[in-house]
Amino acid sequence: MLRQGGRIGMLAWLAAAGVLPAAATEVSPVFALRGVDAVLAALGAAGARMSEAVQIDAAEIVEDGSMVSLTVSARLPGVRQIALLADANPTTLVALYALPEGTVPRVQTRIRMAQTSHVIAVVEAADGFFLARREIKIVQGGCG
Amino acid sequence: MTEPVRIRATVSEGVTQVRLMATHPMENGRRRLPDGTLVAAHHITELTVLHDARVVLQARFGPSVSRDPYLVFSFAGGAPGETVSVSWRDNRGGQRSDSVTIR
Repeated sequence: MLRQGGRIGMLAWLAAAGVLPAAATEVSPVFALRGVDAVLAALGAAGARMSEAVQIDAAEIVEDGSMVSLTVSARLPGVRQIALLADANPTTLVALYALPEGTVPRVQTRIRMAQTSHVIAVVEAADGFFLARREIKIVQGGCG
Repeated sequence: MTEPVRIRATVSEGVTQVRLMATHPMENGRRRLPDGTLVAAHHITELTVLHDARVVLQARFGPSVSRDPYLVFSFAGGAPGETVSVSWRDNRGGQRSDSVTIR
């Protein structure tokens, strides 16, 4: 037991020293979930309410589903986290952003969408979870 | 091999805007080559942005983020000459860290 512990310790030390490559980062199980309800439950956001304070800006029609530009913003106090979901993708959760105090609750990014479907933005703010959804029409799917 | 993250950080009226693009294939594990072979999943799982030593954004990505992840956001504070750095790790153990000076 002791020997094994020592060996693990050495491996960890070698990795820390950059001698060994760092271990691959596990993909969090929440990113493997399928379905908006399952993801909301896993995020503790099952009770999220629709709110006009959460906004998704994107084009109505996007030619290439592998590059869908969008901006999520929230006019809410104390935003700690923003989650981005695509409800018809093979896996539903696209990205999770943790926002420390002082970071503006607005994120612009590019995502893949399999087909015409909804993007859902879930925001954890001081008063709980709020969400917005927006349909984006996709001409050529971007997940395959 | 990894390529540098392209980062731009500019401060205006006390708010620093960060624009970044990480070069990464972001393979979602579902793409097939013309011969039918499935391309294994290879994507960034974590991306962290620091202002000097303080975390200003911590992102976790699934396979539905587009190739060459692109992100724009802002944080309060920052001054010309201070540092913004971006580091990422992927599901195969790849990692990268780059920084830029706020202008």
